[in-house]
Amino acid sequence: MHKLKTLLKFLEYKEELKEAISIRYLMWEPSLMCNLECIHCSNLCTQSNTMKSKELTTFEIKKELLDISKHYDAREIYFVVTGGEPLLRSDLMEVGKYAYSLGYKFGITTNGILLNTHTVKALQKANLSNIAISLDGIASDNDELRNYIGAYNKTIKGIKCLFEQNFKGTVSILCCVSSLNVYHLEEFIDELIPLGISTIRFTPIFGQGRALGQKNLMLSDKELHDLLTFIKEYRKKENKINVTLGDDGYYGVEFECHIRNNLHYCGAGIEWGAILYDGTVIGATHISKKYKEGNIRDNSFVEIWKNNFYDYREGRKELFSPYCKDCEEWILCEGGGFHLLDQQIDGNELCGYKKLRRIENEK
Amino acid sequence: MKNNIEINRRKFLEKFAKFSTATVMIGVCVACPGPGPGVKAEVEKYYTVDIFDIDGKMVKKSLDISINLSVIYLNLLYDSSLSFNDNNLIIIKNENTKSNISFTQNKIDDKTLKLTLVDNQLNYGSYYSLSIDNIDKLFKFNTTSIKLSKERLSLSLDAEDSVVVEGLYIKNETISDFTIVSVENNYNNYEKNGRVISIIENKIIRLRGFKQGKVMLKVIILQNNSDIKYSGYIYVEIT
Repeated sequence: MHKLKTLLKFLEYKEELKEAISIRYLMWEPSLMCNLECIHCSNLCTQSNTMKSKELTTFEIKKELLDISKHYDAREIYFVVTGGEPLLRSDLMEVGKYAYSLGYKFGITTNGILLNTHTVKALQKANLSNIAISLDGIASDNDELRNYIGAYNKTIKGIKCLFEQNFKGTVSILCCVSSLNVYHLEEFIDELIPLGISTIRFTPIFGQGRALGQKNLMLSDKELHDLLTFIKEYRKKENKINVTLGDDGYYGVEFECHIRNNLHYCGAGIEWGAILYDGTVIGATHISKKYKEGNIRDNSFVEIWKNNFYDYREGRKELFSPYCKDCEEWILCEGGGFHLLDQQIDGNELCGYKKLRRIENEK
Repeated sequence: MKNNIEINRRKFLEKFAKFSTATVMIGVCVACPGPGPGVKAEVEKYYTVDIFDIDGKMVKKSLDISINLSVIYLNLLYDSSLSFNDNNLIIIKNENTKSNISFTQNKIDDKTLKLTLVDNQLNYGSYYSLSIDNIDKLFKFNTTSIKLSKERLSLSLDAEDSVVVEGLYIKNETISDFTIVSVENNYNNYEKNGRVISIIENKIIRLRGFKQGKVMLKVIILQNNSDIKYSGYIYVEIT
């Protein structure tokens, strides 16, 4: 009965959030430039930044941050800088500092290679409160995916530097799980524990960007099931590290609330919004550009946020209906993560839940 | 048709609840390539606790913070088995001076902690950051004062006298439009027999039965036309 009440409350809150039109995670993709060219990059980032001329200027992003802070309480908003590699943007600290001065919490996602005494000190000075570092498994797996021998060691060096410099914010690891590293995760976790990492978040690979050409990296039904089982079992133990699955999709009663602390929820376009390198406004940075909602060079973010985003809110069911029609799990799933929509790899099942059911049926 | 949908939804949820072996929790985890949830607890409420003597001189200045684990980031209820334990590392930092602040901690229940911090540097409108292990929260408070009449009291056993609350001071502004919600005889008073007998015209607190000595009263005040409540302690020396 208690569980049922919680579920009903959850549904009620989800509806309230859709109506509230608030913003809690504001992502900014400052550039498509990266010091790596990972084979599984969902964003087609490159070392040669041909898109640089289209990037937002410091003035443009600061203006937008100021405007948003006038309409919403910035203290309730996480301003998260993704990429590309954010540390390649020379004005990162300036923008971070400015965001903080307006009340935003400031976080970044980085591959960690450029973290050194100088950058860590600058990030501390810019009041960075949260850093998520992408590292995709043990050295051999990570370096193959990163397309760079030695990338693992460089990232580890960067992480160590954070702790040596007494970085006060939260440090977590983001690990993209593919068929290459799926069976080496325990070994990987063991390597992270001595470093002092508190959280590792696994996210299954999905078919966007450069990953499109990597069919062989996509998780098979069994591999996905094994990944979820591994996380579920690992979390049952007394652990020195918090192991969790990013909220990429819904996995049914067998796994929900076991693989992460909560039921699946995708807040893209509801409480999470993103501004891309060229000013495009979308529900989150890694969603197909097909679902963009405007551009801050034409209208302010607040205007777009308040007036658009129909597909993400009221129209979500309609949008997902070709895949989810008649599925009773819809109530809790709502199509899973929005970024899974419009995956372009032929035959790649959009729905993680269906993949798991196929495994069950085979048994 | 609509009813059928509702029945089916309900049936599905009942089935889910029945077969789920997990503690069903709701909250938000972020798939997006940014920092993870990080925040699992919220500062539920906080208020300054100022202790004045009857001459209006501040005796002690402190900040009370209640942290509730049941509410998390994004306003979704976090119905979980999580609870505060003795090993939680809690740090409060004054973001203006960048210094860590010492505090005392009381566990109200498994999900609620009350922290009282006494900081000589408590300033108007300061930002404080609170971190509990990996949970962090930045908050701002306004120092609030309840100013008393400076008339000296002379109270004795069975006598009746009053304390006049002159105003509510927030930042540097005086707010005269307020209501005294309640006055309690502080639990820690040596003398327990004394009591508050009435609040007159929202400003005057009448007392009876205190013996000679020191009395501390907890006063809760509501700023009119808002739902903000302030709490403070009044320190009265009875001669």
